[in-house]
Formats: sequence, structure tokens, C-alpha cells
Amino acid sequence: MKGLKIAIVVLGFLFLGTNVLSGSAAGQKSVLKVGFITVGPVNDWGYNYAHEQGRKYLQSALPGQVETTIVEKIPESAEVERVMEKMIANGVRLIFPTSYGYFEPTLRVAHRHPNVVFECCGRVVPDNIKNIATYTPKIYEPMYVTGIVAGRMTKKNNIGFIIGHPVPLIIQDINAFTLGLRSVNPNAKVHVVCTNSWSDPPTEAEAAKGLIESGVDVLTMHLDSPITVVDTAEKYGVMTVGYHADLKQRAPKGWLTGEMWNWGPLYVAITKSVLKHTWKPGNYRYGMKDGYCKLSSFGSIVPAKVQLEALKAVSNLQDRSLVVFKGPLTDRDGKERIAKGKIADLQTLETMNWLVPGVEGVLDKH
Amino acid sequence: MVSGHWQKLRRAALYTLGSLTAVLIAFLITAVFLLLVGRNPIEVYIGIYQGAFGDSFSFSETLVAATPIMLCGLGVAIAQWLGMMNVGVEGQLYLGAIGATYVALNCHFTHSWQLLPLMLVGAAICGGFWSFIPAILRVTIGVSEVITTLLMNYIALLLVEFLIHGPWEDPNNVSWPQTAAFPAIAELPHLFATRVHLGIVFGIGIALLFAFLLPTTKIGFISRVIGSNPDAAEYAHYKVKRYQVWAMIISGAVAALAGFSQVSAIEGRLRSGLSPGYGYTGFLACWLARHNPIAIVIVSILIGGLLSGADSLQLSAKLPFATVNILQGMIFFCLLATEQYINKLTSKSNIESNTESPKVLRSEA
Amino acid sequence: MNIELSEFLIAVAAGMVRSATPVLYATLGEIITERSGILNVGLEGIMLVGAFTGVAITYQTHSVGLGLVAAMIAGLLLGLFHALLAIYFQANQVGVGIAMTIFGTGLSAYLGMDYVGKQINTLGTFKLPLLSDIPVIGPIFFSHDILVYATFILVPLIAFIINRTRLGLTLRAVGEEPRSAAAAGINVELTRYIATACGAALAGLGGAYLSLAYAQGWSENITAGRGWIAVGLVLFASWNPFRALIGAYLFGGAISLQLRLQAAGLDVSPYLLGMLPYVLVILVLSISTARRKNAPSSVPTALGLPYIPQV
Repeated sequence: MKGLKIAIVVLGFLFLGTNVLSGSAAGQKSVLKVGFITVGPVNDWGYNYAHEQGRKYLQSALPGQVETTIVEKIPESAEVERVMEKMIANGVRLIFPTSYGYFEPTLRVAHRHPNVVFECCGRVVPDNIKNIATYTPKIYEPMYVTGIVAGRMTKKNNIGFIIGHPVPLIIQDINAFTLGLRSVNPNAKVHVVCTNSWSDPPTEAEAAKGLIESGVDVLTMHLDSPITVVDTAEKYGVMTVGYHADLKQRAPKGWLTGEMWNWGPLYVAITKSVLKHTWKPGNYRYGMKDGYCKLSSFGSIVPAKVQLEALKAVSNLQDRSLVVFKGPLTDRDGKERIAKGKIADLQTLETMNWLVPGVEGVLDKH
Repeated sequence: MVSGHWQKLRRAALYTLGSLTAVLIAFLITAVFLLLVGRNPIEVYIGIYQGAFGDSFSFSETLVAATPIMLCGLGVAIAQWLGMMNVGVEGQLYLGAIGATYVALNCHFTHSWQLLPLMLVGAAICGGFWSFIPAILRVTIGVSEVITTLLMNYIALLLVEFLIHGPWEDPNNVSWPQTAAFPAIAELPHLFATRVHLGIVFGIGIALLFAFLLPTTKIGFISRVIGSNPDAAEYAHYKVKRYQVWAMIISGAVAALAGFSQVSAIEGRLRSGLSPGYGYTGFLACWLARHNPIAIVIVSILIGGLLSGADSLQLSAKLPFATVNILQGMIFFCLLATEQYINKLTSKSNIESNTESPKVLRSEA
Repeated sequence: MNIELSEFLIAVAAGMVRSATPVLYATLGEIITERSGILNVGLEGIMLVGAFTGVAITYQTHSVGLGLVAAMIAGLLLGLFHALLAIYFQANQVGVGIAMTIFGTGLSAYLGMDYVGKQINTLGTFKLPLLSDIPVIGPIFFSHDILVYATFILVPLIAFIINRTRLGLTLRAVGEEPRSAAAAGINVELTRYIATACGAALAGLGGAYLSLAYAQGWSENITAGRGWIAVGLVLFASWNPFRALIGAYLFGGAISLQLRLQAAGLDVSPYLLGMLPYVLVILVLSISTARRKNAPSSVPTALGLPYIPQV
């Protein structure tokens, strides 16, 4: 009977609490509530961490005007629909689902809530949908530049590229990197290993070790976190090109450079447009000239000459005198993919499933 | 008879109260942890409750989360009743999704009532096949189904990845690994204009069906004999192996319904990350419910609430997801720790529930 | 990249030894635990807490040795907790194991938040003198780290203790016939507490191997299912440490092989290659079980059963 009493007290307590909480939920109106959703932990020093930094930047840049929330570790499945619905029920009016795989659930939620604005990272939204926009920096541009650096620095002409899954975004990156690499070093090759997971550090370490043993002297990666590959490379005296975060301090001997996101200013720009009611749907891609993606610092082993060459490429990309995916481009089987003089359009980029010559590995799907 | 019913009722009431007390203890222990890390436990718990059962929308989301857990839990239970431990419901869920997807994308019908049953059959066949392999290995050469079902989960997951990155990739939109979208008629009906779908009806229906069949039919009787004492069943010339293989097939088929309803009602296509471990959660739900079909339904809804409350926790209390894992673990610890006491209170024999797991391990070479 | 086939195979085998080691520790630990009659399927959670504790203590003290010891202690404590629930509370052991996995995942993720990305000292590799000079065998087995070498001693040692010593006899008696053991004056419960704690300590060490030697840092869910694999490998091994070694090497070898086949440019879907470890273990298990079909069962008779002393 004691149990019953306790149970009644607890239940009563819970109901009371519910009322108190729902009472306090109303009230604040002038503030724009902004919600972020990440697929992994926000402290991964990688992809999700970068978005969290962006959110913090947004919160501090527009004090009093926005209230931001982040929900982490939401799988790219039906779960994310629930999270978005709850955000909306909590008054969130601008949602950033930051992972590519959230797109389909977002389409469904957006359909149900025409008054809420959704900003998807990547993917292509059809024209008839009025409350979704997609955004992403062209991270393949700095990828091209880091390819140049790797091409100048490699002695064995073999580069290892560790990836999670062979999706178009990553294939873009591999191709851009290889194009940059071979623009200065036509004999160099890129060897791709896929770990079948965005985050599995022990397997990443073994993949790195395997690549090193088979004769690569530069490693790069497209994973949720670059840390394991960078650390493993440093341990075995191999150079690395990083991603997501500047890890120069971590790998003083082997660090070359890397690609980084700069979400903060982009999130401020988007949020401002929503606040001013100037926001428009569409598919937005930002090059290096916009400053939302950049090179991380050069490692001390990179000679000034190579650094200058890389920076030259950056400025060429910025003034569009250099375009990464510009024809003629053939895939590694010799088939023409982008005709002479043509520049790859959004659809070509977002559905890229072919590899340029110089890439070796298991990615070929067709 | 009347006193027997009274006895039953009293037992059920005591069991419920005991479980509630256990949960309360878990909340208290976690409260200490929360206080230690500087959070207000009351606020946190209200957040979870609010997110899980606070209003009709939250409750509907709890049911959505509970559906696959329920079906997986029932799948585990069906095998367990005949002494087979099916740790592979996660994989069977994925195979069910594969089967349903194949039908949805390749069979061209004009009406839902033609396509949906066929998708269901496709899912059940694939899921049943996936659990048939470990079953047949077990009864013919004695390979432990525990390890084979477990390992086949990983294979199933990779199989889905292979299909969506390769042969089944959406030909019109290859920007993300997934199959083409299903036709509109392949969508399982939703209930009450929420995301709750027919899957939960399957779950409750199957639970009721077995709750009725097990104690009343001859097959149910034989199953209970095999489950509690396979040697005696063998001695009584029951076809133990045949029963066990069929139990595994049905078990896999039921778990496959979870995959079918997820792709059909929720996703509308096959993608990776379809299940964030529903199979494993279902396994736990089955054990907490002590393989009782009706109890599995209730436990699944409670666990669904905990999962669904978790993201509200992140939203309102700004606590990381791990907090929910800690609380969940604590609740299960406390429930398991108090189980024997409750058993002692409610009945004389207290070994019964604990002898089921090891029997499986013991019977193989 | 043109490397000799022999070089390739040696590299694969060396990778096999590394990949197998964390799983092997957990498997060996679980063999000890299960031999005493306690079933601990919560290795995944224990390995995670071990992996985290190893990193946290190494970061605080700058000593990998202390980190490893701390990981073992963390595993030991969780093992004691498991034993407490299984023995004193007579809780369902499978259930406790699953709860342990969930709890360990949450606890390590919560406490580990501040340690993600922290740079730590890691377990160094060193070649064993003389032994590492042996062709083929040397680079495969004797150019790793202390924890790998320790398994070469630990496997025969555990087998010897279980099969040949009085201690092992006690352990087996408790796992097979607890009541007879009690009648012979053995403290069944104490033996089980110790066995579970030791087993979990080894699992904690296996977790620490992942974070301190392999990935060189903490990240959430670093085990990625390896604890479950270890539970499976115990069945594969029929509670025999030598067979555990074979099982773990089989599994590790398949992982190592598939990653290196990719690096060598083999044109097969990585997902099909990824199935290799699991398919291989099922196949080998089926073949070996079929061959030993009439051999007596090696399962500890009292495994997973609560021990209720006769009154």
C-alpha cells in the first residue's frame, strides 16, 4: 500500500508540474526561436561541432532577437520528424536540419507547417516548395586547393582518402581534391577507403594504418571527425590534410592544411533575412569568395612557395577565373561527363556519382 | 474461481505497484546524479513527462516510437516461448523493410488494398527467411542461434546500405543514398490525423492473438511444453525442432512488420538509418515484460515515451541525450533488481522467470 | 601502389592482431565470468566506460599506465555491480546486461563530453627484441604494443588456470554444479563476484585499448558493437581461451583484410566487403560445430541461473 501512496503522490506531482510548465511557455513573442538539429554529438571536433559553433555565433551576434536551441544525436530517420514537430510546438519558427539525410523528413514536416522556415544543409529543393531553402558552402573549392598542396608535398605520389560513405557530396570532394592534386602533379593517385560509418575511430585508425602500409604519404578524410586520422598519421610520420577543424597544433610534424566551415556569419545572414521578412526559398551555394568555407592554417612543413601557390588558387577561385568542375572533364573510364567549356550545374554536382582519373578505390558504382 | 480471479488481480496490482516503486527508485538515484552535475531533477523529469505524455500530440509521437519496439518485442517473445533466443530482430526489421520495398517499387497496382497486403507478405517472407537461417543452423547442426542472429543484424544493415548505394538507388535522384519514393498507394493508413499508423494495430492485434492462442489452443500448449522443457517435449514425441523453426520464422516475420510499417507509413522509401536500434530496444522490452504479449505492448509504450521524452529534454532542459540513456539504464536496473522481490510477494515460485534465458545457451553444443 | 603480395599479407595479418586485441580482451574476460555461471552480456557498456576512464585518467595524470589501471578498475566496479544484481538481487542476467549497455553508453557519453578531442599520451609500440626479427612472424606478432604482447601470455595463462589449477577447478565447479561446490565448502557467491569483477576488468581494458592504443582519444560510442561481438565470440569459442583467440583473429583478420583490399583498389562495394567478418564467423562456427557435433557440451551448466542456497 505504501507503493500506491507513493505512486499517487508522484502522479499528482507530475500533473501539477505539467500545468506549471505549460503556463510559463506562453509569453515571449518578439524573439525569433531558431532550432538546430545535428546527427552526431556537438562536441565531436568535426562536422557537428562546426554547426554548434555557428549556432553560438548566431546567438551572440543577435542578442535579444533570437533564441537558439540545438538537439544533437538525432538519427536520419523518422525520429527527426518528431524533433522538428516538437520544436515547432515549442514556438520555433526557423529550423536548421544540418544533416543531408534529414531532407526527406523535412519535406514532410514543411508541408504540414507552411509558416515555419526550414534551412536544409545541402540537397536540392524543388521550386514549388515555398518554405524550404538549401544552403551549403562549396567545400569542394578549398578541397581543390588542399589537393594542390598535397600534390606539391607528396613524395610517393600516393594519397589516402578515408571516407564514411560514398555519397555524392563526398564524391565531389574526392574529385575536386584529385583535380587539384593532379593539376600540379599528374602522376599522383588518390586511394579511397570507405569505413561504412561516419564515426568509428578504431576502424578509421586501422584504415589509416592500412593505407600507410600500402605506401601513401599523405592522408585526408571526409568523416564526422578528422581527429583519429590526423593523430594516426602523425604517429606514423605521415602528412595530413584535415577537415572541419584546424588541427595544426595537434599534428606539428605532418599537418599540411585543411578545409574548414565558417557557419556563423552564414547563419546570421539567413536569420536576419527571416527577421526582416526578406527570406526566399531556393538552393544557395556559396563559394570561397563568400567566406563561409576557408582553408585552415598551413603546417610549418609547407614551404612558402607552395603556400603562395595555394593562396593564388584561392584568389583565382574567388574571382571565378578558376572553376573546379569545368569541362572538359571525363570520368576515370574515359567517358565525358562535363563538356568542354561547360560549368557543372547544381544537379550535376549534387548527383555526382563518377570519379575523375587518378582515383583508385571501391567507389565505382556504375 | 472468483478467488482465483481475485488472486490474479491482486498479483497484477502488486506487480504494477512494485514496478512503479522500482521506477521511482531509479528516478531518485538519477536525481542525485543530476543534482551532482548541477541540474534540477524535478525540472528534468517534468520535461520528460511533458514530452512523452504531456498532450495528445506528444502521446501520439510516443505511440509512433512505440510501434516498432512493440513489434520487435513480440518477435523476440514468439521465439522465446519455444526456447529460441532471437537477438536478430533488428536485422529482421531491416529485411522486412527490404521485402516491402521490393514489392512497393516493382509491383504495379492501382489500389492500396492490392499493394499493401502484398508488401506485408513480402516483408514477412524476407524477415522470416532471415530468422530461418539461424533456426535451421541451430536445429540441424547445433549452432547457437544467439550468435548467428546477432551477427546477421550487422549483415542486414550492410545489405540495406549495399542496395541503396547500388542496385536499388533512386534513378532520378542520386543525391542521397535511398530508393525511389514509393507510390502513394503504398502508404500504410494513418490514424486520427497523426503520425500514428496501422502498425500499432498490427502490434496490439498480434499481442492479443497470442495472449489468446497460447493458453487456449493445442499448439499453444505444445509450445509451452517445448519452451519450458524441451527434453520432455521430445519424449512426448512432439516435433520440437519443427516447432522451433516455425517459431523463429514467425518471430522474424513479426519483426519484419516493424520494418514494413516504418518504410510504408513513415519513410515512404528505403533509406539507411531506418531503425535507431528498435530491435535491441524491443529485445529489452520483451525481457522487461517477461515475454508476456500484453505486457510487451504496455512496456513498449512506456519505453517509447522515454525515447520521445528524450528530445523534449534536449529542447527544454538543454540536457544532452546521454542523460536519457543514464536514466533508462537506471530504470531497467531497478526494475530487474526488484523483480525477484515482487515475484516473492506475488507467488511462491521465483525461479521460473529466470530459468528461461540459460536454457537456450545450454541446449547447444 | 605496387606492393608485393607477401608484404600485403603480412600487413593484413599485423592489422588482424591489432583489430582482434580489444575484442579478445573482452572475450577472455567473459569466458572467466561465464565459467563461474554468471552471464554478462553488458560488455559493450563496460568497454565504453573503460575506454572513457582510460582517456580521462591518462589526460589528468599524463600516464597511460594509470589510465589502463583505471580502466580496469572501472570495469571491475561495473562487474561488481552486475554481480550484485545477478547474485544478491537474483535479477535476470540478460536484462541486466542490456541495461548495462544502455547505462554505460550514457554514462561514458555524459562524462566524456569534455574529453572529446583531448590530446593524450597513447600506448607506444615497440618491437620485441629478437622475436621481431623473425621473418613473417616478427612483423605480424611482435611489432605492436604491450597490450598485444600481454594477450600472448594471457591466453595460455587463463586456459591453464581454468583447466589445471585448483582455482580453475573452483571456478568450474561453481559454474557447473554450484550446490555440490557449496557442499564441498566453496563460497559460490564470492567466487562468482570475483570472476565477474575480473572478467569485467578485462573488458574495461579492452575498451581502453580502443581509446588509448587504437583511436588515441575518446569519442562517443567508440566500441561500435565490439562488445556484442565479444559476447558472440564466447559462444564461438565454447568457453575455451585458445578458441577465443582464433575467433578474435578471424574477426579482426576479416576487418583488416577488407580495409586493405579497398586500399589496394579492389572494385567491390565496401558494404559487401564489410559483411566479410560476420559471414566468416558464422561460416567457420557452423563448420566447426558440425564437425564436433557429438562432442560433449562445454557450456557451464549453471550459466545464467541464479544461485539459491539450499536451506
